[in-house]
Amino acid sequence: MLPTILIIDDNENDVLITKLALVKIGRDFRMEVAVSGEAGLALIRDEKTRPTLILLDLKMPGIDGLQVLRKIREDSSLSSIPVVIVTNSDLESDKQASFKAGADGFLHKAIDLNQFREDLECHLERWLDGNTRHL
Amino acid sequence: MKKTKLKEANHTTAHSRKSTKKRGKPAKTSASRASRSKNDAKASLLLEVADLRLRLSEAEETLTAIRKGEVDAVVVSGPQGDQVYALRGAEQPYRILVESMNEGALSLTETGSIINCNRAFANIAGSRSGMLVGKSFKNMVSNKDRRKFETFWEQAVEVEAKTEIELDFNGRKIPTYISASARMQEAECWVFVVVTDITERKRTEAELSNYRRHLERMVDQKTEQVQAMNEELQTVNEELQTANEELLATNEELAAKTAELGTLINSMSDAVIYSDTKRRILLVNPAASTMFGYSQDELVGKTTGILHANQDDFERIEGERYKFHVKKNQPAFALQYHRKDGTMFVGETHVAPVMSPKGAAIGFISIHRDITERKLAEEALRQSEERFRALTTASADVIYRMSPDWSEMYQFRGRDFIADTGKPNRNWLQEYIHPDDQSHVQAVFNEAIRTKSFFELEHRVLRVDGTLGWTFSRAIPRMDANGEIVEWFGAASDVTERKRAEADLQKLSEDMAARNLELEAANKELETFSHSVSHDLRAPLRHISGFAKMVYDQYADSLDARGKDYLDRIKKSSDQMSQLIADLLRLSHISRQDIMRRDSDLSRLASAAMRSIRETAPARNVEVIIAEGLRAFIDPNLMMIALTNLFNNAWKFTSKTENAHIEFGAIEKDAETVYFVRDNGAGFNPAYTEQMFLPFRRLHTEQQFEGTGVGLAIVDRIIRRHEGKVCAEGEVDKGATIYFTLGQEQGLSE
Repeated sequence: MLPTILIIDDNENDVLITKLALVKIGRDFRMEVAVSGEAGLALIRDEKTRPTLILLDLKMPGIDGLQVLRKIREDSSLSSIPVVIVTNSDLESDKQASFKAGADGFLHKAIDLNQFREDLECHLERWLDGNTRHL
Repeated sequence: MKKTKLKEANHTTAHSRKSTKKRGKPAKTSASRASRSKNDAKASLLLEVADLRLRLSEAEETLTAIRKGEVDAVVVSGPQGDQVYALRGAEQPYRILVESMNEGALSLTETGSIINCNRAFANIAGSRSGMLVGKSFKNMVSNKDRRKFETFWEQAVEVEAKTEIELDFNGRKIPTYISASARMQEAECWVFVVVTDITERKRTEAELSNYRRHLERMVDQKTEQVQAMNEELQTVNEELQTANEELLATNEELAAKTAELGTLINSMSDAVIYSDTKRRILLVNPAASTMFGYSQDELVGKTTGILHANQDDFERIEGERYKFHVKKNQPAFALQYHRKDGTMFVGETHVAPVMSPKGAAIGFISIHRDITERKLAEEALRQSEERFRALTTASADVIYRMSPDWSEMYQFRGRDFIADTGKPNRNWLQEYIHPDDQSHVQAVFNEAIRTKSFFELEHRVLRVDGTLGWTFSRAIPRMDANGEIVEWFGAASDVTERKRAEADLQKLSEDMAARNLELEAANKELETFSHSVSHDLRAPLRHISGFAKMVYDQYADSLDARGKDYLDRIKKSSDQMSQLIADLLRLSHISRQDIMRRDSDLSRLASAAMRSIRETAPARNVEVIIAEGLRAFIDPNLMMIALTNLFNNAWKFTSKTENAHIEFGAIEKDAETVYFVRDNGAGFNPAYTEQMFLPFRRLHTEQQFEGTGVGLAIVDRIIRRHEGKVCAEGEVDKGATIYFTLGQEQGLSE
């Protein structure tokens, strides 16, 4: 069964860039996209579409990334899923809030795409190879 | 000369020429005396008789002799010796004698008839002697004395008698003194009578008697008077006694008082001079000697003129003061006096005349006091008061005085802003102070009274024009020797304008603070806005950049050179924009970040910054000098950024310089530490010194040096947040030096 990476991001350009970066990494997985926090949660909750790794944007209209994260972590059936925040923001405060809310990674949407891809690869390696999160 | 002697037997008789009586011793004397025993008596009698007879015969002889003129003198022997009487022409002279006698002489018969009388008697009788012979003498006696005469006559006939008899010659009464003696003359009894007219004598006697009676009366009176006087005298004596005792006591007191007075005068510090009516000095006390410098001897006898500095004074005041009729309690006067040594002084003088108890003038007492010091003190006081007056007049403040408990206010100067009062004002609190402030004012001055310290308060006050103003009032207590408050002295100035200005200033300050807050808020908004905008700009920029790259990567084969070039430009521009945005964000970050300053090692920070920069191009050969031991009160994070930017610039602009040299140090200028970063690189045109610290102001093209021009803006902002200033010096191709100061050694951190 292929691992599923769920991208929750409202900006289609960012989604495209992330997708292209993931593709370029060259590992085997399925990719899912949710353009809102609610849609993402629906997919996560559904066992059929439950992802192996979530790449979560912070700034979204409606329910924002941190709220999604908290909801995921609240639900015991979901709380084991690793979540990496992928965001435009490079603020320390956002970073800390994310980890506090239960994020497992914080990735800045660097303008340098190579850098972006490399960092993404680190996270994939960590989470797609069967590491479980510490709860 | 024939002398005959007569013996005196029992009687010693002295005969004078004037005497009319010649007395012998009648024969019957001894015989009538015999009273003893018959035998003795008889015997003696016989002896006596014999003796008498003998003497008689002698006498008769004598008499006869005398009559005849045979005898010249008679010697009478008596116990005193012999008396010799010369007889001249016995009978005749005798007769002349008798006739010339003053007294009346008569010879009478036994019965009293006049045989002979002398002229004197005739005068008395008022007749002639011839006429009187034969008359009865008895009948010449006044009736009242008849009986007396009888007695007399009996006695006379026997022996002799004397008596006073009043004779009456036909109504003429003559008081007489008659003495009669009987004599046997040729066997006849003759009575020889001498009559003395004693009228005069009587009268004299009567007068005398009267006088004596008068005298007696007087004496009685006088005696009574004397007695009374005696009694009075007694009383007076007693009184005198008492008075004497009192006097003694008074005398003692007087002596004591005099001694006291003397001591007093001598111990007085004022000079006391006693002079006579001509103002010559009689007495001086020791103080006078001291005051005037003369010894007592030098003063006594001189007039008081020697004491006056001005001789005219001596003349002038004579008329005014030295009169005895002047009233008492003349006021004292001040004159200039001079001492023996010539120095002068001002003396206050009292003069009083001295009168004796009878009101006669005796002299003058003058008392002098050296008031030179007092005069100086008075003058000093007057000047001091003048100054005080001038000060209060010149002062723009209201000068006031309060009673110790602040219940009464006395004003010195009203000026314009509080109404003037002449009398103390007990109602000042209600009249001048705003009702809302009254209790506070009261509390403050009560506290001042309690702590005996000064009163100081700004409070509202009712001004003379009726409006309410503000006054700053300050009062200090004045205490007596016991530390008790005597009064308060205060000054109040009109601070209404100042208060208004203060209020305006306050308002302005508040407005400004509000504006400041507004501005800060606006700034913050702006910052936030620019921050979020910058942030939001990055996403689309990433897309542009990213997709351009992807096109380049994925469709490189399809693209010709031009196409690739266009894509390249898109990429580069995006990158530039990205850098701008990044710089913007950095810049805004500096403004937003809290600054926390502490004492830090500036040298170490600089070294660390330099090290990081070196690592980016370790191959470059740049000489870096960093001064050691530089410490400053800074925020290390921010300062690190600033230094990094500065060194970055230096590193950048020396990249084309051989023997690149970068220096960091500090110099002292105007008691301030000025830090600098110097390089010997490309430098800059000094015309742009002001502009170079503005954000995005670049003084070089991108071709010359890359950069967005925000580095110095960041440095500027950081330094300004350290309350310092930054400036630059430079010349094209001669390098640049950036100077900066850091404000506030210790203290305010924002």
